[in-house]
Amino acid sequence: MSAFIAVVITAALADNIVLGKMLGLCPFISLSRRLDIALGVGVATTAVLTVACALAWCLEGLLPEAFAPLRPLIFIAVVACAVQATTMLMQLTLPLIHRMLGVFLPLIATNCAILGIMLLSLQQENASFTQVVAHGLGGGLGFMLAIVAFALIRLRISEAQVPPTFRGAPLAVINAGWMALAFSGLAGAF
Amino acid sequence: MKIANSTAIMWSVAAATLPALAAATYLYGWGVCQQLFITVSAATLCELICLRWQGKPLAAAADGSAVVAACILTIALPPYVPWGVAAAAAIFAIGLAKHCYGGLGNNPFNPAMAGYALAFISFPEYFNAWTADATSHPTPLALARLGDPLAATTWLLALPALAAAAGGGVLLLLRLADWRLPLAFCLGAVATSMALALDWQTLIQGGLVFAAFFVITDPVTAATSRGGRWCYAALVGALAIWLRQHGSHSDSIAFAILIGNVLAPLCDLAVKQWRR
Repeated sequence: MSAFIAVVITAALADNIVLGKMLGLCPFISLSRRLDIALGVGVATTAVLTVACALAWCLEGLLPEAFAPLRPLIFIAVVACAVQATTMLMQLTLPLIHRMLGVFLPLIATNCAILGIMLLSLQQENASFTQVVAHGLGGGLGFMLAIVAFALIRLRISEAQVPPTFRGAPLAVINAGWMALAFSGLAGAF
Repeated sequence: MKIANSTAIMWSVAAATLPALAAATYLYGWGVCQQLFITVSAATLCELICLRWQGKPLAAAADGSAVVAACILTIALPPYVPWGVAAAAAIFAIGLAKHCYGGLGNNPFNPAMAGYALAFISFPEYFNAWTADATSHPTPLALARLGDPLAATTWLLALPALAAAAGGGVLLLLRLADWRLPLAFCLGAVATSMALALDWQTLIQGGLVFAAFFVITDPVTAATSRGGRWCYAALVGALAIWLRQHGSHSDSIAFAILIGNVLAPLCDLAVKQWRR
């Protein structure tokens, strides 16, 4: 259990997928204008990622050697299935959040952070099932932490009199850079 | 006595860093004064250029915030780094961390720590050698990490901490800084060092006391609610000790503060939700 938690914490903080590996920046920048949307996307991404990593591990064992170059393609299909399943589940159980997320939910399928984490977690030698799932869960939680913190900071600076040159996307990118600098201090710390 | 005006507050904070600067000059020589001159000039020049470019009145540069950032930066930087590195850190601090966000009061990241961290990442070769007047020796922190008892026991190590506490104590007495922030920071640091079974002397090394009084107390970048402030400062204190022991950088207070700045609004929100 402690090994599971260690992998989750490392994947979420020290190897943060957005702030450490610079993947998944499109939703990070474009969906962080509102806190509720950022939180919803974070929760949905975490759910999809955990399921997709579990499925990918199972497929990895079944896949013949000759299919190895096709792995990214196959994984994209797996992610799409996981997204579809999550969407349907959400529609049934949490219709309110489902309606709020709207078009952003299917867009998770094209989030490169998800494919990135799946490929990275399966790259480890003899990765066990729990390790891969922990990596997926931690990566999703890290994504959620980054996007929610970013949304809150954007909320805080939305009242500032930012120079016109930096208003909007430029400041968002500079801000993401400072956040990445901060998180670089966590590298290797856990 | 209560000082309300933000200009007066800033200049008082700058004055309160003087004991710490004097202690650093005593320990490391005149390089500290050179460094102070370079950072203050670069910060003020950058401030003036940014104000001019935004069409704001140049008199706003007299609010003292650039000088405070430069003083904090001087304490943080190793003495005798090339002047370009010190100037770059000051320009990063004022230009990229403060004026991009619209100037004083809007920046989510502490300018001095952001400038220091960016310079640290950009020029790492200058940050690992602390030289005192031509005799080069590794930083006391690096020695303590290697387990050199001599470095850890010399009373000189306590001098910067005492000087910073003297200046910071005055700030707290004048109510220029929220007392919750240093207290929570120290509690977080002490609890973490006890959990890691560290020597108590690590607590007074490497600018931790200075950060407790002058960096964590920055009202702009800290959490805004009372509960959020306890949570924020304790988190930064704990992280500073944890990263110093386990992190990959030689000293990590700047990174702990920046991570705290990232999470400060989250601390506010978490405390608010939990109270509800």
